[in-house]
Amino acid sequence: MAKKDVPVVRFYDRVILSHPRKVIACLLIIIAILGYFAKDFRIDASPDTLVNESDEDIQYAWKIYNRYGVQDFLFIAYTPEQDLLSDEVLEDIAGLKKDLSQLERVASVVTLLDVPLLESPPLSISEMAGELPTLTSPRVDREMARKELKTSPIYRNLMVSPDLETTGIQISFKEGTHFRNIVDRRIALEEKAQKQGLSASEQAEYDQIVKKIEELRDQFNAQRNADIKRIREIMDKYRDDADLFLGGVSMIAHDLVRFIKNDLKVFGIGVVCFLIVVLGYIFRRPRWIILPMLCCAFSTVAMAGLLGLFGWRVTVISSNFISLQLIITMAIAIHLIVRYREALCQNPDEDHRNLVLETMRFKLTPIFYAALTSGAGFGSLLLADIKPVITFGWMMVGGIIVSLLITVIFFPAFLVLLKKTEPPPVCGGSIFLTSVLGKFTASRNRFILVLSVLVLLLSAVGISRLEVENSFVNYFKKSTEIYQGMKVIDQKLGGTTPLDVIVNLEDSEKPQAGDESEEQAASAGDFDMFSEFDEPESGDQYWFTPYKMQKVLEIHNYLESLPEIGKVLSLGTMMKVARDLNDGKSLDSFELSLIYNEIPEEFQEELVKPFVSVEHDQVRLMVRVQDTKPSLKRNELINQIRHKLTHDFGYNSANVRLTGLLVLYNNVLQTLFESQILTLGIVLFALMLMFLVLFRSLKVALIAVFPNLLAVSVVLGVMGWANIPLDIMTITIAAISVGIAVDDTIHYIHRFRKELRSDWNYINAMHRSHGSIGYAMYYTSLTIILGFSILALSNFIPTIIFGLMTGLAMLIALLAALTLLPSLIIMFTPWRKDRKTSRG
Amino acid sequence: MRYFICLGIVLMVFAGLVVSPVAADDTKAVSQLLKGKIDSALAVLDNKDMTEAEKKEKIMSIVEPVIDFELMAKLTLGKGNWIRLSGEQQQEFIDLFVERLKASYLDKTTLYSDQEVAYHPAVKQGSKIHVPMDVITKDKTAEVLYKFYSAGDQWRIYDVEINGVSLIKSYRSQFDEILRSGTVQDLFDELKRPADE
Repeated sequence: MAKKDVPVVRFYDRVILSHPRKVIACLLIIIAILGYFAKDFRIDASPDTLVNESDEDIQYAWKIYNRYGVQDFLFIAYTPEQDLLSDEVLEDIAGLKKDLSQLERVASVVTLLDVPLLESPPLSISEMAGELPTLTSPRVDREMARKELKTSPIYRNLMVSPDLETTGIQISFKEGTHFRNIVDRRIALEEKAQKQGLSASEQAEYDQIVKKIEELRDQFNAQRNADIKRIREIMDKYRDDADLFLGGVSMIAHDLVRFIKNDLKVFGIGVVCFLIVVLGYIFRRPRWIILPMLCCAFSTVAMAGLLGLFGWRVTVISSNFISLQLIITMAIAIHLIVRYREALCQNPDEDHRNLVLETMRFKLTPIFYAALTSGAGFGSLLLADIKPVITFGWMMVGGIIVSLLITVIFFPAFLVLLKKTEPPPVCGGSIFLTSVLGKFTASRNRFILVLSVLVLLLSAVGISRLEVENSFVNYFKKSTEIYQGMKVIDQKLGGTTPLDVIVNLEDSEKPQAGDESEEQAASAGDFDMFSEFDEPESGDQYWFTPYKMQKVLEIHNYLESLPEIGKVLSLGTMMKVARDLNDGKSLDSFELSLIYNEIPEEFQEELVKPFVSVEHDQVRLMVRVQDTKPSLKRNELINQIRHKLTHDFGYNSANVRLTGLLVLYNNVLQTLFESQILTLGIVLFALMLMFLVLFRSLKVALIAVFPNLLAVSVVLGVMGWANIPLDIMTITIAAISVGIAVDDTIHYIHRFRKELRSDWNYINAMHRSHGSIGYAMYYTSLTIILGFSILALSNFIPTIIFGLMTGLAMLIALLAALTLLPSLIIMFTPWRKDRKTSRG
Repeated sequence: MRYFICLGIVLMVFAGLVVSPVAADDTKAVSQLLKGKIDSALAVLDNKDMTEAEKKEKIMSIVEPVIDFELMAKLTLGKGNWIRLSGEQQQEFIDLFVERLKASYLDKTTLYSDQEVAYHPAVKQGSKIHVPMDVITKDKTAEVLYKFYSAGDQWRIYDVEINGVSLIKSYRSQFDEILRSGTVQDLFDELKRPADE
């Protein structure tokens, strides 16, 4: 058995298998050290982890947040069993407000009880100057209030649902100005870096700021999580007589992390249990359960430690990373087990140590090749322009290396310490599926090719139907409380995802004064006496003109007319209220100036400052998009609004900008779509080059690409046909499919080439390959597909899709590697007896 | 909010004054006459025997001679814009502006009452006289400033400021904006447009 060994096999012989205890001890020490750093392992789903920090749009978004203020609040949707305006319900709302206001970081709680009622009954002018009545004021007529709340441009769809069954309670938080200042500084440095570069001290400052921001963000997330927990506890006290749901952007982030962590815990344990059962069923020996499970555990701990050490955060995008690491480690371990058992079957009398050495000698190359090509598959993530995706790519590349190293070191070292067992009762070659597929491939070569082309075509049609949509609401099953809560807020209280429409109103230059005629000059003489008006207007109050307000109203009404848009808040809202109060008449510039001047500072903060920057001649329309609307196509909506404003409303494109989470998420998704789906070709080409280098044959390289292409196409095609949109969590499925599918191709070709050398009969070589490596591939796929099928029980849709699509990718990769791949090999016969292939 | 909108309106209308130029002590005379006229305007408003229409008409008759609407129209346009207009356009603008001003403000005069007025000494500003006062309603006080200029044989109002907001300046920014991005006709269309559109 032993021949002229390559250095790495000699290393196994002399070190790992000769000193297994020491090797294991060293490995365990390293894992323990890394395990210590696993304490810094973080899952972070905050919105800014999902956006590209160097994206110009995020810098702009920060600028806008800083200019107009961040609306950092949570929202409770409160639907009482009794009439919303009954005394009992109002008392309950008051109690809820009181309890919530006592939380340390809560700045204010605005409820139905706080909103001024101007028409219930209508107030006289002098009454408006005094304290404004609210729902609890004795003189307020509840029936009139009912009507006012239902029709008010401000309250309807924000404070109350149009059916008046649900009310919103807004909880605002105290804002940390420190965080804002530090982000400002970061943006300033980034801008400088882009323009002229940074000095050494500035670079050091920048690095520190980035670190500090992360610290502050962690701090903020921890605080917010604690606040959300407390708020939910308070809400529980009021659930007897009402339905209460919590919403808001930071709540979505919080719940995403909660679901991801929960899935990791519950389904992590579930997957492990399932894997144990499947491994037990297939291999029927404790060692073949313990060994792969230990490899998986060590790899996961080591990788978590490395992530903690490097400060790489697991985000929504990379949340499947642990599952993928399990899959990769499990695949390596099962290939080693199957090969060991095969060697044992073939040489039952061989020494145990030699059998282990033989296993490693035989499998190191294909395992290394498989890791390399899987790495290339996941490497496609590095082509993305989004930091968390690139990080995910590096995580996977790192994960593959860690899994590879730990498994190929620990597995033989541990195995050699165990006693040799009897050969398994059933050796390779008798698995029903592999032998059936072998016979089928031998007899129905053309049929397989035709079928593959058909499947490819069908998949292509499916892919053309693929939609790129990110809907956080649809991440959760309809039966979950969070879905129902988000739906109530989305449909009854004005929508979920924020979108800001920013418009610079000043579009044209001042015209030049014409030539004065004598008559005109004479009539202009009056002006000389009144030069006081010729000084440039200094006060902000003169900025508010009917012309500008009309422009804002036009945009406001247009946005409101879009069916996917819930609530629109802008100066237009205020104009509508003012017009209603002004007997339906618009305000002129003098009235507008007076109003602006007279609004108390605290109301300016609420009513004016979030919507206008006089200094920049700019208005902001705050929109919330209804995520549960089936007709919502986010990218189309953004483009439609942009097009309308620049084409129909005639704004210069430089003067219109859309920002906010909807745009930022959409940017990420569109960039990802381009880089992932459209560069899939590049990745397959890169794989082909890799095959070319590994197998040194262009024919083999071309053949090897097809099964992978088929696996990826089927996965994406099925998603297209099943109307599963590509979103921030599922968009990486293409890279994942390639990464997983390529394993089977590598292992099969490697084995086939070995088998072919014994008799140069392609059909026989195929049957032998099916009976040996096919067996390992089958078990690997079976174990992982069954193990991960439990994910389908999750309440978190991306987890379900991941579980099912990963399983599908494995199944197609297996079927393609056992049918299409050998068919192509047999058809094109890439190796000839006279043309010696090099040893790989 | 609405209170302040309307406050401006009322006070401007109330200022139905005709002040003769008095060389020796113009400021005192302007102040006294202002007070007298405001009192008489308030009296019209308090008169329960008159109909709304009659009140409006009466107040109009007090107001019109003292407010130099024509000058105000010119000032709201500014010299640069004014000289761009032909003689005809200038007249049309004056007519439209005055009509708009009346429609916007004078119609509302009868809605208001219950104000107290605290007068402050008039101040001479070059060749002009400024008369400041506080208008007090319930718990709110508004500072109002009437600006007079000597139009030959009489003193006439050319601008009103409420809490620092100048009527002329605010209209000027509005008209300037329309003319900057549109034509003179756009401005006329805007002035012709009913306020409740």
